Amino acid sequence: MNSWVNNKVGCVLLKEDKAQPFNKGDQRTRTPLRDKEKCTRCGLCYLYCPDAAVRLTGDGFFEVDKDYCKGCGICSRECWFGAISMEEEQ
Amino acid sequence: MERFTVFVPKLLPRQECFLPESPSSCKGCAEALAIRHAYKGLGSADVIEKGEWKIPWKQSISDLEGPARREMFLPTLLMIPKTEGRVLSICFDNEACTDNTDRGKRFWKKHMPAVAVADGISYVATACPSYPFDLMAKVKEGYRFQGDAYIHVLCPCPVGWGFDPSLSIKIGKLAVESNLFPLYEVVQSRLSMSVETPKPRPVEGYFRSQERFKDLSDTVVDEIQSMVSLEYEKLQSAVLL
Repeated sequence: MNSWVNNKVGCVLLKEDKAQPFNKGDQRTRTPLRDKEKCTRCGLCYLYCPDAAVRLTGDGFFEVDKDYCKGCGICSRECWFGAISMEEEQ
Repeated sequence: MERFTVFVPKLLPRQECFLPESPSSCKGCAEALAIRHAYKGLGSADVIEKGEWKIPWKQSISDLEGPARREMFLPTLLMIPKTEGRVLSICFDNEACTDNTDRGKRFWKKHMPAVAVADGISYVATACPSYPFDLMAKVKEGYRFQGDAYIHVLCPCPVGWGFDPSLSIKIGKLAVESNLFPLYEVVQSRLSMSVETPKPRPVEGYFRSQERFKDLSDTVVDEIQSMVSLEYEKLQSAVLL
């Protein structure tokens, strides 16, 4: 996938086209980290993610797809059990 | 027990009709979230795959230019055709007045649901992505309903309103809980409230949490509070009728 950073004009699509081939995770400054001991697998993070970046994995836990997560922090704020913390991106 | 419903996020349809990779939105965009929920409510069985959003859509009234647009102050509209030429219109309202000539003027927001009811639209509802199951149920009902339908969705916008992206859901809840944006539905001009607020929060908390209202004085906030209480009383009396 292309990166927004390598675009000639910053974050602007020059052609009238889809933004599909671009990586959405580039603008992320904070990453959600999940504490699996606190997580009850309720799915609120999945419900409230605006970018549909939270996906259900085989073991019943929800995982964040780093290609699409923009690091808004809604999942961390809305989690009832405080299982998600936002870590600074390296 | 007949009114018993289960709200479990895990049991929602897994399919995403609103692809996260197609339209580019800002961090914490509640409008994107509202569109995602609307599509989950619609389901993918009856909708035609067309365009980027896998659904026929049209930005109609927003195409108006000049003074008409400014006077009417209308936001984005998503129109979904149904059978027999009927249309389900969903308005994603992020309260953005992009016209600079209006800056500094003070006017009350156009009450679109009331306009829709007066126009004789048989299903009118207000929704907010902070209450996702309510939004999904309303979109489903609006699509199923015989006749035209209109749904007004309040979408908090972190960039335009000036708050932290992680607060998008909280701000929507605050707007509903302080009676600024009451959730209700009007079926055949019979009004019923979706969310009851027996103890509404003061509107000050809503206005002080956003940067766009930073130059609002206390007297204006008090004025707005009395106006909001009056509007809500009117709505309550409509329920009792």
